[in-house]
Amino acid sequence: MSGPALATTAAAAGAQPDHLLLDVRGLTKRFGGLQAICELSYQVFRGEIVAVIGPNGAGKTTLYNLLTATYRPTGGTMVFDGHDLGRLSPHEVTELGLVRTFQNIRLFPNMTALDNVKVGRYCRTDAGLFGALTRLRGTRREEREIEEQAMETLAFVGIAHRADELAKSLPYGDQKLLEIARALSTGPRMILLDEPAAGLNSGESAELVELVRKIRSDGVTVVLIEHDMKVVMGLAERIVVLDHGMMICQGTPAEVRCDQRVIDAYLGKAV
Amino acid sequence: MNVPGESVVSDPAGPVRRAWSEAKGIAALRPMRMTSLVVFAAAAATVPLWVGSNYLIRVAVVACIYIMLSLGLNIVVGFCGLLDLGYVAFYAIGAYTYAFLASPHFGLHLPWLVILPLCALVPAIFGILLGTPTLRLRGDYLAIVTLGFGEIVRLFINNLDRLTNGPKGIANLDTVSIAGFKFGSPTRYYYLALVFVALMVVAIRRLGDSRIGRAWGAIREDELAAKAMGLNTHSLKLRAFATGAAFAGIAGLMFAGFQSFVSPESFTFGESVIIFCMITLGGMGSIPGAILGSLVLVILPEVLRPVADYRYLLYGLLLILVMTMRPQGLWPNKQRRRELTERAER
Repeated sequence: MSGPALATTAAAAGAQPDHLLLDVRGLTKRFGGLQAICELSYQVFRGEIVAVIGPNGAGKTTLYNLLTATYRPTGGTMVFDGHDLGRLSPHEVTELGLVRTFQNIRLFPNMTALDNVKVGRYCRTDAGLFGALTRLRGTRREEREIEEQAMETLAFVGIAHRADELAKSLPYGDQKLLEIARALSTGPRMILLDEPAAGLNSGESAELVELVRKIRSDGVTVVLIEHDMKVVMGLAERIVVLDHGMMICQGTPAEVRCDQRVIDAYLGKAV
Repeated sequence: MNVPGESVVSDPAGPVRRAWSEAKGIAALRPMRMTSLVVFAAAAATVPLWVGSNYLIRVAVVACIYIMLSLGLNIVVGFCGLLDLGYVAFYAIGAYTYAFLASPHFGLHLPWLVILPLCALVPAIFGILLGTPTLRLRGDYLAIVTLGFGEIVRLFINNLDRLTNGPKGIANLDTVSIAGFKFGSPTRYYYLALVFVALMVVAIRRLGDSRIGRAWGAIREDELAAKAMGLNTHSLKLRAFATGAAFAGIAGLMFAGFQSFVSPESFTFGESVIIFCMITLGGMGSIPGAILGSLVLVILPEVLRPVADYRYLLYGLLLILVMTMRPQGLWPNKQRRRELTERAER
């Protein structure tokens, strides 16, 4: 594998393209009377790039919130690499190697870009209070590694020159890249991107497409929610289409594009 | 220090490294910081020489104790963003731990160096006990719970006559002595307190610039995102709480040894508020700010003594004025200062 940024990704070494990584079965989430996700079943395999699309309110972000244990499912199972996600807390999901970005950027605004990425290394390092106070050799070495890896990850997404700027003072596009860098620094096996191209101009979204390919070639499986169809069609090998919390179809970009149910969901049924 | 990106073999590393060290050089401003540090340390070390009276040296000791309290509260509020309004309870627990173990009250006279770690440990344990059920609460709710805790501790001390001697307090605490050297005079005690302030400043700087410190910052900035990035926020908040409590406990130990007397009166809600004022006035999350804020709020009432009746009126007015004209505090931390200047540049 090539990219230094993700050197610690456990799964990357032996990536088997056809190996099941995420197995969702019968997933259901109700908010009171509202059925946000209904009996959803789908699989993601190691090394894939999968897009999740659907009209607003289809339940895409709810799905991410369920997978990352931000919400508890009403029913169904989600198994990630043999672990049941339904029983974990959010930080344990990240430790397992499943990490997300946010649709509305949620960086640590008053910290520098570099520190944002360093926070991502938290779950792969272990200096505690004692280490912080004494700064023995082990802690100093770990700090050095954290800094190096954080810089490499920033370079990987192409914003190393912004390392010392506060996250909130970065331009919008760079903030989106920083979110991805922060997520990558947790050493994930699968990354869930929530509308990474939203608000980017066409040049920036072309670069994003390249970046996502680079992430995948480093052995990280990518699932992305995206409305920008150029990005989706350019990247995804498989597309899952949600509407009203249900999967109405899945397949290759070519198949999905011609599917009558998809066209109906987006444009409304012909009368 | 270390050169980041040393091990990078790929192309972009060269310019990256250069840009990075350049940025660091600009941000450092080393000479100025060193000068101000030396001046400050020299001034602090010579206080007993240029301050005339024992009374004023005692004021300086009190200032040191408040600096310790502010530094500790800064971990909880400034670093981690937890609104703790019952902070004074840990100060009280530290002070009473000393009173129990070094006074005729129970007839115990343990060596000071044995009590010292206990005065950090016992409040830290109370911090964990309080934090475990309550730190799931956010912002204002946590403030109310901690406020209640502070009052409960004070009321317990006030009413548990047999244990704490109630409102009469515990008197005749042992004079602090380390290996036979007695810290009886205010001057000697001042130097002891100063050493502890220095140690705490080093400790808090190291904490702030560590894996744990960054994680605290992340929780303060966005707790949900912090969780999603793999932080066990509950455990981290507990550690912030316990560390802050340990700082307060040490301050309590210093206070009790200095006064040679403890009573519940010294640990009212008003004290928590004053400590809060100190770190807000100085600049939240800033170490020099906490020190400056404490100095100002301890020294100001002394300076205002001549105007007797109007003393606290002026004190309050000054607080209002500073906070309206300089909301970021007198000596804001680096990031907050940059935040403001960067906004101004645009």
